[in-house]
Amino acid sequence: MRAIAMLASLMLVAAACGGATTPPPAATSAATAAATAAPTAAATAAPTQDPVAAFYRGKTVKIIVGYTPGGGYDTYARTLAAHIGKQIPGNPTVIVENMDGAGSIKALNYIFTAAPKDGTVFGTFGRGLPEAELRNDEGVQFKSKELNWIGSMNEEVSVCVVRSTSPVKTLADAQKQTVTVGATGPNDDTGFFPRVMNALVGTKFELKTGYPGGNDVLLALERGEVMGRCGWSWSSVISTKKDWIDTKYVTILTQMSLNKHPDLPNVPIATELITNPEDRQILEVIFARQAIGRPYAAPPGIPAERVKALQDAFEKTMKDKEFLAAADKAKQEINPKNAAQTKQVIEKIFSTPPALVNRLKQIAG
Amino acid sequence: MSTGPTGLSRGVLAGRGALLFSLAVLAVLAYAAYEINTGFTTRARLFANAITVPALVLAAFQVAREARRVIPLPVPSEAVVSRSAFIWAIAFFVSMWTIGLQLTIPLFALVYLRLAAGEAWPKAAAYAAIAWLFVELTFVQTLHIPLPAGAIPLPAITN
Amino acid sequence: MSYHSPPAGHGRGIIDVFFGSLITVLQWPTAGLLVLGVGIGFVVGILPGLGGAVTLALLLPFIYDMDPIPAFAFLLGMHAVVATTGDITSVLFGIPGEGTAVATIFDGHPMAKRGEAGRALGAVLTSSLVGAVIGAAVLAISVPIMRPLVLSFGPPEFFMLAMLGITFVVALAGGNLVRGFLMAFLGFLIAMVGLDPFTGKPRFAFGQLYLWDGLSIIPVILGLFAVPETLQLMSTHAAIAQGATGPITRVMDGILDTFRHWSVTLRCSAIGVFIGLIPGMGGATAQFIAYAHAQQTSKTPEEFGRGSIEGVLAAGSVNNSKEGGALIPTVAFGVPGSTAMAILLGAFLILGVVPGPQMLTKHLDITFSMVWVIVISNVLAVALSFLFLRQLVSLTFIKGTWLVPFLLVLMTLGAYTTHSDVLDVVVMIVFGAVGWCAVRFGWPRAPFLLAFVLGPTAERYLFLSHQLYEWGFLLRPITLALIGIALLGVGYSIRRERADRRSRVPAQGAAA
Repeated sequence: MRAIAMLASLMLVAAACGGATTPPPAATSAATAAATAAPTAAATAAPTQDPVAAFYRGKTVKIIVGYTPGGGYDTYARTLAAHIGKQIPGNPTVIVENMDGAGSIKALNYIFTAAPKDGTVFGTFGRGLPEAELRNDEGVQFKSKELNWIGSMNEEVSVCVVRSTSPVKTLADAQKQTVTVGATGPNDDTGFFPRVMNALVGTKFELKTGYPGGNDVLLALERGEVMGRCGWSWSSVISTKKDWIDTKYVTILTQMSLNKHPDLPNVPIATELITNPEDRQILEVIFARQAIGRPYAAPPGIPAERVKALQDAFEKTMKDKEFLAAADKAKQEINPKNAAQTKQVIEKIFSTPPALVNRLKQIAG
Repeated sequence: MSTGPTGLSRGVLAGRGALLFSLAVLAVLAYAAYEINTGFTTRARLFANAITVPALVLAAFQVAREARRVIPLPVPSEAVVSRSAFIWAIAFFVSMWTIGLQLTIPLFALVYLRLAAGEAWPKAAAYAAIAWLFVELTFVQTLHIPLPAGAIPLPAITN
Repeated sequence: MSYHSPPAGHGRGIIDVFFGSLITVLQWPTAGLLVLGVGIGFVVGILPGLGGAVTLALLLPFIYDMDPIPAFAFLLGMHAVVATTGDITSVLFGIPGEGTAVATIFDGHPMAKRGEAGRALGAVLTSSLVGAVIGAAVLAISVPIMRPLVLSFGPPEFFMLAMLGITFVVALAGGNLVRGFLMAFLGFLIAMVGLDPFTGKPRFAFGQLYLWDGLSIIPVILGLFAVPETLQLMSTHAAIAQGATGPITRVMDGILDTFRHWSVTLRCSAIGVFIGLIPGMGGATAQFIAYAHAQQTSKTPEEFGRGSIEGVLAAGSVNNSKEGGALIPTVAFGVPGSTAMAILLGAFLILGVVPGPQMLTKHLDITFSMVWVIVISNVLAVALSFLFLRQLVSLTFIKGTWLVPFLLVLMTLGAYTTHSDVLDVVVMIVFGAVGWCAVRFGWPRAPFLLAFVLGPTAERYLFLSHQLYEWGFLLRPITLALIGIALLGVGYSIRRERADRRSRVPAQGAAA
């Protein structure tokens, strides 16, 4: 069936290419006819002279995902891909391509340097990458401020939990006694967030690192190998282990983001607990990644009207009922930021004074 | 171009190859040991040293055993590879590197079947066409896997 | 959080649910999607390199609008079949169709060279089917004990299991224990390439971003096994079945062999289930351990590697039984046992099905429908294979040169599709050179591959065990038992090496 769809779009390409050499009226009618025949072009193409629509008609837009299939970033992107096509003028086919590697640095490097700069490629990657650029991490070849930001699909709030059988009940307890937490790696959320908390909030989280995945950490918690997990996205708590919250199997110590999650009005947010303004600013830079939890950006150098078309399409998709229903079914929380809001967060990250960047490097290193 | 199972199975390599390979293994391990104990963090050394130290001992033992061997081991039949096979394989990959896989597929099939296998041109051409079509339809069109392009920029056939 | 009998509110018994889900699977459109999945899996399995995991990922977008059971029929039907048909190219060309089909080469391909491809395929397909049924049965039976079973294994046990696997497979090396252990150590070393899991710093990466994630298994396997085989085919120009005069199908013999050696089939199926169950071990491991076990318990171990039917059966029976096992941690905990299972887990979430205790209670019908999908898709795939068997076998009798361009293209594409990166092809070529040298100088390749696959798991769990229990982890009861079994394995191989030398049998061992 995919083959048929592809043959249809191949015809579209042929039609569009033919359009360049034949007189305008014939081209428009051929393209419109083909567009209605294509299965993805649900809405009838408006017979306008819009150059953006003319460009995208019959094209394939690729969303590059910096991770392997099946993970959070991938499934979010696939829901987006299924619904954004009809919001882009000219209704292009939208496909997802996975380009995993180096914690998605490879993908963002590709988007920044090598990807076609015509508006047919944009992508999603680790929310911590702008901060990695700020810290001047190894392997980074992109410049976040030059990217054409499209938006973010969700604002993430991460929590620290401990098993309710443990003597630690509050964050204050965790500042007094050691709490073992399972982690997948020192720079993943499960390892990075507790290290940040230790450095800035004075908690005594002790990392047990090397678990292959987040669910393995939860399994370790069930086996009693570790007391808790620090750095667990609330949306995935709700979608996978809601019963643990309902039955009070685990206790939430704190939430980590710039803003409290509406579900968790009574859980202290980490930024509240810091009095030193500098420490607070560092924590805000670190948590800025949470605000753009599912970020999307296109390469620099794309014609402005196409960037705008993609940004508008993204914003419209985030409000589209069908899209929201699909996301809801897949248990994906949607709490979007549009392009301007995303850009603001990026600006904020890069306005960090150099002295603080150095402290940030120490904490992250 | 010789086509029989001749070539590398006789001569200098046959006698000392096994020793050379053992030495290569030893060298790789020695380099790894150096890297581990200069570049790795203490925590990462635990497992790495648990692997490389005993491996170095075994590799040294293996080299010594090969050095003492007088009669070379018989060449297993699976390892008899002709010089022409090597050349064709290298040609395939070099072609892929220069002109890209998309052109290499039909070109290699055509030339190989005609010259190495001695098939008639029409047969070779038909094979080449089918191979190209198969890859184009399954990998490029259906699965959206862009084929590796060559170092020499050539206009893509499709897209 | 143990098993709370039947699904809430329905008051049906577990048996009712079990057979009820069979009926669900046989309904339209589920049955149609199952057949479609089987068809795709059949082709994917046969194409070397184009792996089941990649294909699962490519099929994911299609399930968005499906209900859970039809979606799993489609995905799991595809996946379950890939392992079965992956064995076909292993037997015919000595080129593994899948990473899980390597052990099938050791004896399946020598049989094909003797002109017995039909018998080997008959045996491998039938034992695959038997394995699938056993794996599915274990999955079904273990529903009540799934969670306690998985919870009783922690990092120390996982680490020792990985070590046990290695010692078993080094024993495969037969007469050359030194080279066997060396290859295993090299495999571990190569597995270390990439980001260090404890500090996140690149190791052995030589400044290449490509190496940060380590080397992928597909290019390595294709290099080690497919490249030498293709080179040989290019050298001889002859048909694969050189020794035989004409096609001898003898498929029936192969089918009967499965039951003639029922004990091997059963034991290896059980091994498959157990290895599949352990996160991080997965399919590429199970085949070798089963194969090594079959060799150690065989009355004619010297036949292994030269076309032993027991070796073929061991490799065949394991490759589907492990699917049942691998589904257990995926379903019960959301902890995937393999790459394919990780993608399947993604599918769970897309469909709004949450792995966990409720899969054994509220969604028990889904769990059971998976059992049925594994069984039915394998019955279909094996039937389909038998339909084409005569044509498949005849491939081993056509001129080798006709196969060469096709195999080269498939190998290259197989390596390349791993990351859509030309460097994957380079990795394949490099390991092709290593693989050829290994064959040429009698170094066994299986320990290398196994250590390469198990390396990250072994390292993680060793490190975790040490963090959690210091060295005391070595004294835990299950760990101690596993150490004992490993020592027995090594002792056995040393004894055999001595015996080999005394009887002056040329030190060839498994062609592994």
